[in-house]
Amino acid sequence: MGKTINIKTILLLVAGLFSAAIVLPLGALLFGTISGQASEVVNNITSIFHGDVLQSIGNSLIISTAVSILSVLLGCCFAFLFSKANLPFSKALRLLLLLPFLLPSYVICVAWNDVWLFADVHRNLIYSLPAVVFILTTIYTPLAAFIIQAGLKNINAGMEEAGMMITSYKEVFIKIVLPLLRPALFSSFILIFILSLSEFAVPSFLSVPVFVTEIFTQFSAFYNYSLAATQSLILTAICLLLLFPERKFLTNEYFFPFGKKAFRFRMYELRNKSVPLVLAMLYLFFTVLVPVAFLAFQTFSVAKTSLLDIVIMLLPSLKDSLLIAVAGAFIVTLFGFIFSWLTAQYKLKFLQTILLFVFAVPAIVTGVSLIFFYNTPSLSFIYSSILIILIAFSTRFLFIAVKIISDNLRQIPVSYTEAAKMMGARSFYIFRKISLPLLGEALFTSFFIILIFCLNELSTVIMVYPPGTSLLPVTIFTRTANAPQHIVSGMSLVALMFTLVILLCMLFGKKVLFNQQWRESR
Amino acid sequence: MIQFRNCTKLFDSKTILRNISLEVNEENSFTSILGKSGSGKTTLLRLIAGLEKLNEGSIHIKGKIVSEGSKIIVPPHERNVGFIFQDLALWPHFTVYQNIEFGLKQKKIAGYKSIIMQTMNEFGITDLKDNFTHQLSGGQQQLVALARSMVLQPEILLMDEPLANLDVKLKTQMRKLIKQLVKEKKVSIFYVTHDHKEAMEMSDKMIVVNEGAITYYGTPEQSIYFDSTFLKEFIEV
Repeated sequence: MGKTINIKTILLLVAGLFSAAIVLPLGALLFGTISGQASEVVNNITSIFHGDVLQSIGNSLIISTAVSILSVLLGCCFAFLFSKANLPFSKALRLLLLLPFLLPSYVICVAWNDVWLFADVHRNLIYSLPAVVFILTTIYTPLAAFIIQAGLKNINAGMEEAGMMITSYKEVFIKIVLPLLRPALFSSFILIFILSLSEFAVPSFLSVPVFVTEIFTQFSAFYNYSLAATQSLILTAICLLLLFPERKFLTNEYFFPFGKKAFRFRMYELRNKSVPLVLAMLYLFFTVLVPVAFLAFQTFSVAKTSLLDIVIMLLPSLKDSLLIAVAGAFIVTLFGFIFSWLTAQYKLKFLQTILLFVFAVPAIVTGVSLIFFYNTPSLSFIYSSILIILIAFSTRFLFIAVKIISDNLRQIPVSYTEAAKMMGARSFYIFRKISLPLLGEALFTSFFIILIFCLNELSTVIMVYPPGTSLLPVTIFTRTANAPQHIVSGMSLVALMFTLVILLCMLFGKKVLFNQQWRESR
Repeated sequence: MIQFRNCTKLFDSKTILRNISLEVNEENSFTSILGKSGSGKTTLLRLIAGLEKLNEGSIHIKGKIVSEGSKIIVPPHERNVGFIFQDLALWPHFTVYQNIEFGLKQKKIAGYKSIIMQTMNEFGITDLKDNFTHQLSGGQQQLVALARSMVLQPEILLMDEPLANLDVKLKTQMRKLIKQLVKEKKVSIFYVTHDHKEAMEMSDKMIVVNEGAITYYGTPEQSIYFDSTFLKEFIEV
């Protein structure tokens, strides 16, 4: 018994220290900003009403609103087609739809730039706000579809069927399905709003001034740290305000539909499958395949360019990125499990709420706060090593890992562990023999998703990467300013292939590792 | 055999069982715990098992104090008690054989392989030993759950509405088997149900729980004459 208590105490302590490492910098940023000289604080706050800053805030809000609305609408259509209607090839189409979300946003941006330059689109249109909205919509539509799909799968067929006994399916959809789907719709809207508000790479590449790029400029170009910190807090406040009424939905909603379905699920036979199939294929052809094809075309259009040369050039970055991302994904998944387990064991729901708030903090603000907190003599050993990147990854992605793992943990009936307890199995043995095999797939999925996110993360790491570290997103992004177009495209193509290889490894690994017969029932 | 002394159980601030005192002395008997949904009958069972802590009072099994106040004095696996959960809790990633083997391995019982084979033979599930639980019918799953508990030779078997999801024919067969277990294996069964007909038919004794209190403890036959409006309404006298 004593041993069990010790393990639990140690886990709580470790989780506490880890939380402190990711939460304290944000607290310190807040404290540091408001405890400055009053006149400076007032000046910094009033500076947001200056023309340029105000315009950047306006652009940020317009982009976020438009992207959220469009992504949710499109995501809703795809979620319905892929999960409720028996659309042919839906598995392949779903994977294709997911691709832009899993690829680095700067890669998508470079690809679209290639398409538009080839099509001779006017530069004012390429480097414009609608272009940012378009690209971000293609990136975030899969996320909306993913969340809404999970919401649809949690609607018991009985509820729909009871309605269908009384009225037409159209009425049932409006009066029953949509209200039941409201949390998923609302959650995806808020989540996409926050993510697009924090997006750095796309507006920066297309030279559209947004609030995030304004903060980055103040920090990196003008070295006006106090103004950057104040602006960071304003941006965070916007995100947190949006999140506050939604935290209930976001913390309780099943985002990731892994594991078995909770209920009997009703499918719908489309009267005419060809029209939605053609529309879906056209959308995916133009938003996924065309830009990727143009990336390749642009790379090889210059005879001198060899993909191998580009790979050799990027080799140090590829190596560093992979090693750091693997370490990051391992740590985030490990702590994701510890946090999920502690939440389930001690009903510590507030842990998830804290992580959600940390997740909602824009990436650039996370970067600023980490610099403010760790760039001190006593903590410089963290700041000057890859530890700072690992902390940045944890701050950004721990919530996602906790969501994936705890959603699966919740699906394991308590009676499974109780039955083992009744037979005298010790806690660690129960964990090893019962919980771990049942959670294995979720841990694996979490590891790979976080690995992809870590590989693609730019907004935070561009601010904190220590000297001597060469990360792929940073290398590509910094070279976009002065490298020829075909080299930028080539580097983006390498990054794309790199992500695809990892995705394929994940799919293959899943097939090999989790092919046990008993999983058929799940 | 089992004694509850002034037992109170709260969940959050809601009282589930209120100052319960009860003594069940009959060994090798079938006792039903009967009550409406939310009356506290499953909690009573889980307290015997040691899966829940009391807030006040004490529980004694075979004269030995097993729970007192908010302390579990004897942990669940040392109470020599088996538990059949409502969802059966058969581990989906284990085969039938591995499900039954788990407890014996924990208790480090020598020659457990022959014990497993003998138990599977008794329950008629030898042919299913390499199957995963999702490949079994509802009735077969019940048999595996019973075999998994009985292989450890518990003195008391706690059953939480295990037949709730079976059809009438299977239910009748399983009831017969459970009654047979009491006789042959000399085990005392505590069986939670909300079906009064099932309780009247199967039980040697009945415990009727209503709103966290024990309304009746006695034989099914005597319950008809017991002076309680709730009980009369509940058992439809």
